[in-house]
Order: sequence, then structure tokens, then C-alpha cells
Amino acid sequence: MSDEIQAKILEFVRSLGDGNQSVEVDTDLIATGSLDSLSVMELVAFLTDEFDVKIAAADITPANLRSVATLTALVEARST
Amino acid sequence: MTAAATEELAIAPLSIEPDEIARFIAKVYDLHPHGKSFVPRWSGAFLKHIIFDDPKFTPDHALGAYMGDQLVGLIMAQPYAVHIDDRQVEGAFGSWLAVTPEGAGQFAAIKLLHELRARLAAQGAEFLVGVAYRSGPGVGLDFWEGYARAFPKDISPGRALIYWARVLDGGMFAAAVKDPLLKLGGFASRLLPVSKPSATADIREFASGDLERCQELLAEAPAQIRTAPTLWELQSAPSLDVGPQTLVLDRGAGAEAVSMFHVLPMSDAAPLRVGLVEHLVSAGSSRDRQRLLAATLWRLKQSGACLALLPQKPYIGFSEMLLAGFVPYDGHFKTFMMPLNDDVPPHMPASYDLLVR
Repeated sequence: MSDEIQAKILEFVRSLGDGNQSVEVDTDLIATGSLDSLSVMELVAFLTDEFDVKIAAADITPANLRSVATLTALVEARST
Repeated sequence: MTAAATEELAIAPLSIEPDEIARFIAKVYDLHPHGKSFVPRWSGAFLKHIIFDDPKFTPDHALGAYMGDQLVGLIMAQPYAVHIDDRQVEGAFGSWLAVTPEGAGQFAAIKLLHELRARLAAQGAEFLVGVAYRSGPGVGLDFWEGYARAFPKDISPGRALIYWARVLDGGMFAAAVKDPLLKLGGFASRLLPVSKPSATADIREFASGDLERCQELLAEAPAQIRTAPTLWELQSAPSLDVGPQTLVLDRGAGAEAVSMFHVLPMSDAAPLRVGLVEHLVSAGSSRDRQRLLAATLWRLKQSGACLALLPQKPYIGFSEMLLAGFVPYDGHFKTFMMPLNDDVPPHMPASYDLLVR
């Protein structure tokens, strides 16, 4: 399940911007500027719809958004 | 990555003076394109009057996002009450969201809004409303619509908000705007100049004794959400640049119509002074409303404003506004309602008569 979630998140993050095609699971999305406020909100809407989880504004922290791996962990935590 | 970007983002009450806040907002606004809209130039004196000097203001109404000691974003709200159906509800009007690129990299806008909501809710506020307009990608209306998609239970967008615009000084307006069509409109407006109203004996400044009647007039406006102003909001500020002023129409039996308005400096090709008519409501005929509007426009023109804007009101028809010399101005504005508890409707009602700042 985790691999499936991770693959879907990776695909979505790569679709967010022209420079995101080279993003990997452990790429630092913040340091590389792969996410901005607008793409973060698109990402949250995607996670909510795709995985039926509730992501709160309080979850929008650098720690949670650091990489596809941390995003996968967030979705798994909110799924339980 | 800058040195500041390595710092953890912290949200705390703003600790700088209103003049400095105004400069920070202007600096951030200038980083983004503004589409068709003029760029507001809030002054420190105005922000001080409407936010910080409000008797109901608390430090939680003005928050900054800090990376170390560097301010990278801010959001402010003014205490604001409304009537929703028959109930008076305390809340806040939130606006003035400004975030630097360093703050954006740390998602400061989302954190500021989240923290403002949490702090106001903890004080007992039941809602937060705000207005956004289309500007650059990811900011302004883009941000608020994105927030609504990501957190649909936190925020509800209303329908598009149309302003009515009336040129007060065609030459000054044409010289200040970039858009050729607006320039043309400025020149054409000279055919319909704003002139001094002939009969104004029954129009006067608001006095504290008018409070209850003015509150009734606004509460009775035919809209699902209506402003419930305090004495502080209706009391005229020392000047139109510092805060709103209020006029009433009174034939001797108390206020029958009320208007509240102020001047906001803006910029386009050049600086321009824009009059914003925030409230315009009458108990009687539309003629009373028109007479008060004419007196209001004259006041604004006398203060050097070259354009007056009036947000569309659900109870003022198109024909009435067109006859008064106004034309619709779609700057891609939208109102947002953020309920802070379950007693407030989760969706923005179709008709509202709210502050727009």
C-alpha cells in the first residue's frame, strides 16, 4: 500500500511544475523550490481526494512537506 | 537557500509600527503583477485607525511570520460584526495578507491564515471574512481559491464581487491609468461631471446619537449577511485618508439613510486617490439613497479623489447605478467566508452587504 501511495504522490508532484520531472522520492522539495503555496494547496486537494484523508492547515509544515517520502508518511498517518 | 530560510518559521503578534507595516505591504505588493486592478497603497495612519485603534482590537488580530528576527509575512484583521439572518455574530474582517518570497518558501501564507483563524476562534470570534482580487499567479485570488480547494471546510468563496465605478475627475483619472479604455472612459466622463448637490440641508455628519438608527438601517438591509457596525466604525475619522467618514440623511425625525466612505490611495501608471463607498442604505425611496450618494461623491471629489468605487449591493438595481453615472467595474474580486464554528453557515450566502477593504 505504501509503495502505491508513494508512486501516486511522486507522479503528482512531478506533474506540478516544469522543473519537477526530476523529483525523486527523497528529493528535498523545499530546498529545491519544487513546492510553493499554490502547489501545496493543489497537493493537499489531491491527497484529500485520492486517498480520502483529512489534511489540516496545521499539517502544512516543512517536516511533512520535505519529500515524497514524508508526504507518504503523512498520508499513512492520516489514514489510520 | 538564504540564511534566513534555514530558520524555523514562527507566527507571533506583529511588533512593528503601522507605518512600517504599510511599507512592508507595499514592498510585497510590488513584487507581483496586479492584472487589471489598481494597487492599493495603505497608509500607516489608516491601518492604525481601522485596526489598531479599534477598541476591540487584540494583538491576535495582527500577526507576523518571522524567520529568526526577519519579518517574512503578515496578516491582519479588524474586529467586525454582522447580522446573519436575525442573529448578531462577532467575527473579523481579514485582509492585508502579504508574504515575501522567503516566507512563501516556508508556506507562510497558509500558516498565517491558519494561526489567525485559531487565535480568533479562541477569543470567541465566529467567522472571518475577506476579499481578494486577481493578481499574480499563486497570490491574491489564486491563493484564496487554492486554499478553498485544499481546505473546503475552512473557507467558502462567495460569488464574484462587482464594483460600480464613477469617475469624479476625468482629467486626473485619465492621467493616472494605464489601460487605454479606462483613459478613454476618463475623458468621456467629463460629459457627466460630478457637481455640487443643490439641496443638502437635511444631510449632515453622523453623530453618536445616530448609532442605533444607523445600526437598524444596516441590519434591515435586504441581504442574508449584513454589517453590524459599532460606534467606533461609524464615528467619522479625522480625515478621509485616516479612516471612514459617515453621512446621514435626516429630515428631523432621525437618520433615514446612511453612507460611509473613505479615500484609499492607489497606484497604476501614476498615483491616484480612490473613494470607496462602503455603506449606502436608506429606509425610504431610492431617491433618498441617490441624494445621499450625490453628497458623498461630492465630498470625495472635494478631497481630491478622481474615482469612486461602490461594491455592488443586493438592494441597489443596475438602472439606479447607471442613472447615477456609475459603470460596472469587474476587477475580479471575490468575497470569502471562513466559519469558525458550526453555528455559522458553512457556505457564503448568495446575498451579502459586507465591508470590502
